[in-house]
Amino acid sequence: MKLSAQDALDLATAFRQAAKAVGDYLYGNWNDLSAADRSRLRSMDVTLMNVATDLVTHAVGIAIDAGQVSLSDLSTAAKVATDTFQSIANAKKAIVVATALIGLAATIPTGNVATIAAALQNLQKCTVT
Amino acid sequence: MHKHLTVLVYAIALALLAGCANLAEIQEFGKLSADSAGYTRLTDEYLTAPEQQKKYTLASETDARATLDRLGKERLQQAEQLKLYHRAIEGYMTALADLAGDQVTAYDKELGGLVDSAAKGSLIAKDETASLKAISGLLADAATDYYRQRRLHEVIERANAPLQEILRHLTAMVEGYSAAIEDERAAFTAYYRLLIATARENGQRPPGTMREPAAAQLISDTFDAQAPSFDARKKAVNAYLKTLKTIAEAHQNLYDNRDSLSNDNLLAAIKNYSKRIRDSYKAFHQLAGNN
Repeated sequence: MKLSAQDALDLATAFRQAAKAVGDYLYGNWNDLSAADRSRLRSMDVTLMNVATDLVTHAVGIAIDAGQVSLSDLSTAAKVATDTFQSIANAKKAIVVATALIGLAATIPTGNVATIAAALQNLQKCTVT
Repeated sequence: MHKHLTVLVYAIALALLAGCANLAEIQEFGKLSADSAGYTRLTDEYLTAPEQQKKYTLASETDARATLDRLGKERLQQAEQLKLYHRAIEGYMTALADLAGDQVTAYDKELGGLVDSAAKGSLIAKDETASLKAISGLLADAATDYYRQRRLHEVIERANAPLQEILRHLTAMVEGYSAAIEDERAAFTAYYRLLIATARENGQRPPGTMREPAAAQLISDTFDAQAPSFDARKKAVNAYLKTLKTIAEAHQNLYDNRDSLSNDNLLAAIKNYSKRIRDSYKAFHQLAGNN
């Protein structure tokens, strides 16, 4: 089953919200973060926003086997990760979650089910409290 | 003999007149839809959105800028597709208006050429190319065979499925533009948050080392002044989406009632659709600042 244009736009929204959560963490903790962590989180924030732009551009024509990886799994994982940022303990953990989010986002346009599933599992592991 | 001939001519003229119904409502719907579907500024903005977004990155963020450059190029490749959608709908709706007014219609040969070259390339998916070819072929037939109002029902019948497909794709693209505005807003907000955080920090340094203490306020003011423009653009896109959806709905109604196009109830419904298209298109122009 092919991911519809609307599905891709919904996913783009999920990743845009995740980017916002990274930004909220970064600017909410600005004074407590090292220059290196600020720079890393800003870079991840921009990368996640660009992932959303990428998904919007390819909103039509992304092929994902929904039999094995469901849109709802992807959206839920992105949402859980987004919510995680509200209670994240430190910059290191924030960077780990953001990295996993980017890892998942990067696999979606490829349509490769095995890679998407692995990245999804990695994100889910990172966000288990 | 001469008198009989005159009577015969009058009789034929009356018969012809009787065969030509007043379909002014359909004519109006076609004209309005052609104008609305031919409007391409939003798709132009969608194509250049990544370039706009790049303004909200730092010069040092080279990877992010390279990604946006790539996406900008990919969107430019979609330009051909988008132009064809606009042109096919505009061409068809113009023909619909012509035929409803019992006029012959002209064929846009360039559209046919563009559809043929798109079919040879790989930029447009096969099903979309088939829909564009169907509309282009129909317009060619209507022009070369001098179709008039009496064949309007055939035209509507042949056009509906491919037209709905093209409208669906154009709608998806415009919805993509709506999402692109959100992307731009997110990039804009993140960029200004970074500038404000940095400026505040610089402004809080001990006396003597403090740099530009008023910068944070100035940046914050710029942010406040520019932020509302995103809402206005989103509203304009929503109004245009409403226009496209109403065109699709109205044409479906014409298709469902193609064998009774002069039915009063149908014509009243089409008149109502035209009013909705006019209202949403007017609202769109006001929001987009095109007065």
